[in-house]
Amino acid sequence: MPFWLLAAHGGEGAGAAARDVFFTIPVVGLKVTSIQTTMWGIMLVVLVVAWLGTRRLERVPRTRFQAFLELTVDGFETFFASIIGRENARAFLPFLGSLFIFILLSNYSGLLPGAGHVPGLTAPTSNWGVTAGLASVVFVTVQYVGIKRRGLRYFKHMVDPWFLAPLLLPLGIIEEFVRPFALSLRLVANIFGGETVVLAVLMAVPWFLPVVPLLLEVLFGAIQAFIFTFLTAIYLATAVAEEH
Amino acid sequence: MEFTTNELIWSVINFVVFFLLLRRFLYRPVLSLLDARKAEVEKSLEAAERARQEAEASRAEYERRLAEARTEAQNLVSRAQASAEKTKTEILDQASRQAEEMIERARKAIASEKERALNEVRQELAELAVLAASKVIERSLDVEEHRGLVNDLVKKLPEDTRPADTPG
Repeated sequence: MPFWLLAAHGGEGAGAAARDVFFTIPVVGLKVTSIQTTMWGIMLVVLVVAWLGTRRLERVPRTRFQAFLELTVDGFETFFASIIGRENARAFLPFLGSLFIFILLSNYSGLLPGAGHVPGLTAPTSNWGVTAGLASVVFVTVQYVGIKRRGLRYFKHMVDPWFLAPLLLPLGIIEEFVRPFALSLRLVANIFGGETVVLAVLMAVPWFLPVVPLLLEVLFGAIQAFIFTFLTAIYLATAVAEEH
Repeated sequence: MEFTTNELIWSVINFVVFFLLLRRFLYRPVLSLLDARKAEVEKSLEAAERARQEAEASRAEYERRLAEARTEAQNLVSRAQASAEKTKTEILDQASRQAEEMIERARKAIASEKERALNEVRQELAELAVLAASKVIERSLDVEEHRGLVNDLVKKLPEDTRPADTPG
């Protein structure tokens, strides 16, 4: 029996490996777990690919590698431009693109054999702390970009019209905080839920049948990464949009 | 599914680092490359369009000049034709005038020659007549008598052989 099935039989759910603390960084007290090592692995792979691919960019692409990177970046830009306009897409492309890649590969890392059960490999997005961290980054970025672009006018929608301000202001503030909460919960619930389903099917019928939920997870992993990034794009576009 | 602050802090740190590095190593270089390429393509297209327009203009100019040259040549030919026609007419006129003059002159010369010959003949005749007469009468008449005789003789000549200047 494969070792991850053994581990599964042990009754530990996905994300249990997050509790394997490899070491603790002194002074600040941050613990390095499988989730951190997985995130670092993803970052390392993507950054090495990006670095190798952009070391020698040529005006006329000679390698498929360069063409692939160009296609990726251009594809992101075209896609985001269709949602939030070309100008916004260009401005927020590095943020949104990085977010999408980070979440997508985090989701997919959970589909690797042994994810969640071998030390050092746990899908980061199956931990609510991670998705909450990403949602916090989005929250702070949205507020920062909105205030930077529009100053105090950014808060205008919360007190306009003025006579409804007592009602609108608390609602607006609550909305701002509900957004990242919903973002993070939606992502982690889907990924965690998907992994649990895969695990359950794997335990019941180890051969062939798990292929079905696994393929679905490939689809859902992309969809969840897409939704998270898509909503972030809309929050950013709303934050910088001038009211008419 | 669990919530751990440790993971929250780590994911914030990781993502910010990831974002900054990816922006530095992927998005900025690739985007600036795409922009440069876009600008270059636009420039090339513009240049091609300009070249096309220039070619079009020079073709039009060439055709205009060709048409001009054709018209000019046509004009030259027709002018030359007209002038040749005129010259021909002039030469013919002159030739026929000259011919007429020559004929006229010849006619006059013939007439005067005839006159002269007739006069000579008359003279001869008169002298012969005188000679014959003197032979006959065996005496010489003076000049006045001769003249009177001649004139009488002339008067007896047929009308058409009479000299023009002789009073009738």
